[in-house]
Amino acid sequence: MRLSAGCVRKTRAGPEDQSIMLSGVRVAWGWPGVLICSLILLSCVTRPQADSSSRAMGLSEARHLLSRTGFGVATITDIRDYASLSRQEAVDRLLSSVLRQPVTPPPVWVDDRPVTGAERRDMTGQERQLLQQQRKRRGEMLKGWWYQEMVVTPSPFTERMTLFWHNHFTSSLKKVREPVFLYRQNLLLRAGAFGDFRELARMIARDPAMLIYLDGNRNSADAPNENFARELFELFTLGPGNYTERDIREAARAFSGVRYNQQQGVVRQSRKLHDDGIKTVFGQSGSFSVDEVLDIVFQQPAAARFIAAKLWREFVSAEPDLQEIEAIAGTLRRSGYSITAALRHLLTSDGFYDLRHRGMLVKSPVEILVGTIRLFGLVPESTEPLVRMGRELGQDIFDPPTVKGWDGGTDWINSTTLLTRQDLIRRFSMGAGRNRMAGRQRLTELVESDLSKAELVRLLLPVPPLTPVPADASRVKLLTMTLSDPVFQLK
Amino acid sequence: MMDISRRHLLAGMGVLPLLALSPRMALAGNWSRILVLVELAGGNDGLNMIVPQTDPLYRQLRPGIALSGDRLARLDERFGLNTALASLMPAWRDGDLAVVQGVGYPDPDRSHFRSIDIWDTASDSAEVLTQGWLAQLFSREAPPGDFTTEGLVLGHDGAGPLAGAKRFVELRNPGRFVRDAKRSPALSAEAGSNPVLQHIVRVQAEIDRAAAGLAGDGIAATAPGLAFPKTGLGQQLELAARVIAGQAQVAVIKVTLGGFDTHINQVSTQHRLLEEVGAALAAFRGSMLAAGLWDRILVMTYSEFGRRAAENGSGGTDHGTAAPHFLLGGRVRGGFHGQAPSLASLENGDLRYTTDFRQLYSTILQSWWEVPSLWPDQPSLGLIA
Repeated sequence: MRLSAGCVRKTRAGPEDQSIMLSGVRVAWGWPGVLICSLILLSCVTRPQADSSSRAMGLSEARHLLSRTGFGVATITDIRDYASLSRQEAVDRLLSSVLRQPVTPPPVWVDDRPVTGAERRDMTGQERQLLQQQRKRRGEMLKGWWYQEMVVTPSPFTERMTLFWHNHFTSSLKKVREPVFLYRQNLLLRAGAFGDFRELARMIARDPAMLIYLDGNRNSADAPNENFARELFELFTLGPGNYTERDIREAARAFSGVRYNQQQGVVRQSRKLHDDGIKTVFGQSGSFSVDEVLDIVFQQPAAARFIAAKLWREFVSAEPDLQEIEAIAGTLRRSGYSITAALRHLLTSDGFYDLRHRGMLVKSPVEILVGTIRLFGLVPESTEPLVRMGRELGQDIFDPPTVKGWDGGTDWINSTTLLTRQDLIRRFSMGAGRNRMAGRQRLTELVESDLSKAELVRLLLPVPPLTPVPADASRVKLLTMTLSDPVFQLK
Repeated sequence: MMDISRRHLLAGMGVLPLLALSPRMALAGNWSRILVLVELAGGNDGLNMIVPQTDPLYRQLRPGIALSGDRLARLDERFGLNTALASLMPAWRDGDLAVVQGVGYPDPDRSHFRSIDIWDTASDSAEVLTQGWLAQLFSREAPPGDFTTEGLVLGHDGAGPLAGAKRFVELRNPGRFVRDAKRSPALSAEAGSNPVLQHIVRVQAEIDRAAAGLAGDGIAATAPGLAFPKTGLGQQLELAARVIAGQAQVAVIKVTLGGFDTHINQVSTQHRLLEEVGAALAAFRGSMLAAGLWDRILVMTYSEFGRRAAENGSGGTDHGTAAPHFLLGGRVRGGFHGQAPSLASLENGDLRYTTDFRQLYSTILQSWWEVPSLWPDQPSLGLIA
């Protein structure tokens, strides 16, 4: 993997060249350069006007909050910034600073009009093959674009929530085929990530990528297709056991005729293809539209409980705490399904900070990749290896394996992915081939920092390591051992 | 079967004679026999795989997607085989291929995820179990302790029936697996009470053990016999063939092909998928026959459910219930087993199952591995010679 340091860039002289550009001045690689760099980094950060009352959350809780809402790790600078705040202040600051739009410019082709089915049918075999290759290339670029955003964003929480929704309202390039649609869905999920959950569901029900992914485009009055209605209830809003087969069939009728018009690039409900007869969904009858069915869905008590439980699993623990989840569901209902309100509730709760939940979640492949890069302050010269590594580790973004998304948890770790994770950490921490110097850059900073050995370990790990580091180990040895400890796979 | 050094080691320890004389051996199962599980993920449409071509209802229910004429190979007077699977006709003619009709379970669940959980754990429809059915078996009747690993998962679809088992590995490239395992950090510590750490430590221990078994002659450099197709499933089964030919000791190998969720344009999609299944299985059979190992192999296909009897309006089918499944192997009694569900007595448009899937599992336990069934009320089918 080719990486270069965050605040420094390698010159074009090539990976073997051991000099760096720093503010336009060419300096020799080595300890002085690293020190200067660290000093500049530190001086760039403004200290908050923090309330250092007894309510301050402290380093441990600050680390927990930032690592769980970020990419599984947090830098010492950020942790120190947040440590002096109360939980409420910290979460307010986190939530008020989230971005709704990406900072990374998208690939140039996202404004292209997608090739229509009719156009594709008129193509020669060779043209179709070229189109297929172009889509494949663009799909990889799209994945790279998102990785880039995750690495550089000042708002990692936005990325985590966008990923959360991508894993919830899933769609995959393999079925949708047209990368432009997945790009637009990503913007939609991102913009709505902290908004009204009902509104997000309404948007998703008329999102071109979703219409293609779950065959909504093929659902018409005389030829119902139940795919979207089923997954809407089972996976998106209510969960198993909270609907009947009849609810699915009737809702599918209400959703019939919703079409993405390829020529005009808009989604409409075709009157001709829509079943405007009386449907009965969850005991209510009427000639329902898409939004009316969704309104009924969100009247079901199961809806808030379902999404609250999923947020709990994402941010707190694989073990449900029914009482806590019910409380978060209550906040969701009272706030009109405000995701921000639910997150504020969850992230300030005692349950979230409970030591029993520390180190009990597995970092996802994206978290281990992006988090480690961010921790080391590296900027990838190419995102291609990130896309490839994510795929090898079991998380091919924009291509979830099924509509249920990635199961996550201990499923992230099997014999193949554990070996790949270890290999990855080895390459990051010890350096391999061309990224040797870059990979060591931030490690060096940590080695040189004013942190004690114990503090270093506490910075990197959510709970004590499985293999304790010998007291007489050097600081470099301590770092590499800590990173390769299984506990580094947890958050 | 054992490599020399291990045999020497065991003999040196005085274990071999004891094993040979132990009365327990006779009861402990026939573990030289290997089960190969082929998961058809997404819900394979059985009606267009084993086609009731003489039933007029078939064409009425499926005016757009019914198969006929040159799209069917004759199995008997009533049923035709989707010609996408034509490469399995030699196995059918040789009596190596059993078709079990109408496999399903009571109160079927049409969720992909819940239904495959039911298949994976052998639970009732209303009961949630976390341990896969093979994990349940191996915790009671384990393959010998010196096995390389009990289960090998070669697809990308997770542990499935091995979920919760202590001894299995997932891998794609054995060379790389062995190489990476050598470099992975030694773990001597105990995981304590954190279940996630316990999981990591267990996986690490199994990596070390399986890598030792697969190193050296544990895996053949090439598969014997015919070339395998360069498809996903073809490559998985080629790997399976190399592991078996290399005499690594393993009880179960699981492979997966996904994409069977054919809500639209089913005919072409399913044709492509079944062609991949047929070609890969035919190559695997050829390879095992060439190596003289076919009698030690039992292949079983499964899928979370079949699909609705009637087609939908998009040239596809929605989620349904029962479906036929294949058992394939040197000791299999070929031909039809069980009852095909009647198209005249559907339940809300769905087929009624006739064979409980746990009967397949009982057959594997009792007649293949010769261990007591975990489902005594599900009798073994007379499938294994």
